Amino acid sequence: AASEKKLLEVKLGELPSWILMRDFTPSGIAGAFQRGYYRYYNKYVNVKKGSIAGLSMVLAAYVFLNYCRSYKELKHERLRKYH
Amino acid sequence: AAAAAPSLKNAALLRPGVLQATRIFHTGQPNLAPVPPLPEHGGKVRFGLLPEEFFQFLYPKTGVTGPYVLGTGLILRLLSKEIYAITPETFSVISTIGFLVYIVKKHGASVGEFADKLNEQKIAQLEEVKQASIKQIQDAIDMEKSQQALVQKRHYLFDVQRNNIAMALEVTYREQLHRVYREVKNRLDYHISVQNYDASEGTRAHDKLGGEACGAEHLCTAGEGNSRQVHCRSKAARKEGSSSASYVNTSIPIKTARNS
Repeated sequence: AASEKKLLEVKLGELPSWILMRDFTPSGIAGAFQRGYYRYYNKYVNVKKGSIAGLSMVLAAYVFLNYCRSYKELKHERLRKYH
Repeated sequence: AAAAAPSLKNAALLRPGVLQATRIFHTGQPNLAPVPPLPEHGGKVRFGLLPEEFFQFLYPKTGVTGPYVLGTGLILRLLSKEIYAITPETFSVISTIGFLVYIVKKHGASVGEFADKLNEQKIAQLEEVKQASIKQIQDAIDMEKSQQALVQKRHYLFDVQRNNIAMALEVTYREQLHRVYREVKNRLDYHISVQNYDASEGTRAHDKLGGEACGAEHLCTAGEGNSRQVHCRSKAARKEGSSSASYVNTSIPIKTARNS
């Protein structure tokens, strides 16, 4: 039962042991990605009357990720040096 | 064993044993049958970016305005610390995003309806196929039932056939009986007419008929039921006799002793 608990139900002291109990084999990691994908897909996309939110959240996350990745070059565009 | 393999023609090959008895199929509960229908709406999202769960998560601690205050504070911090720098690209981003939001707000509903219509068409097609298949099978069932009902009424057919055969037999029997009667009467009439002719004409026709009339006269006194002998002996005279008998029958009253 300890290995089946969700992350939000794990107490803070048990966190390291819980992380170590997870399945880190390649098939386990692939399974994790698959589960995450289907969780998002079944909640926001695979419905009868979907909205733009299913797509826009993905695009917003992509924008945010690219901004984080290119912050090193964007730092030079700042208007002031000290904040 | 016969219950475990109902489709085998030669069940004798499956010896009754423990192995076949323990082979069980389809024991798992199918948890996706029937497949549950799709949910109507997706998860609720505010501003198209933040799921509702986030707002519900903060509601007990901060009430309704909590997430908005958090958002405002975060944005101001990003700007003031220049974690997000305002560049010329910012203005293109603002105009692009503004344009997209305008388009979505204006035409989102109609696009949704169009997609719904397409879905409905697909579903209607499949439903039609399903209904046609169900109707076909129902028709087959009804026809089978009516044919089974017909089988129950087959005895009527057999009764009719039996009646027909009985009638045909009766008719044939009566026909043959009548034929026998006719033949016997014919021959007896011949004899009577010969008698009458002999009685009326006497010796005048004696040399015409020759010895055959004597023979016929001799035989007609022999008995009524001896038609076969008569048939053998007076064949030649019978032709003449039948024609003369028909002539005689109409003009001379026949002695009724021999008429049956």
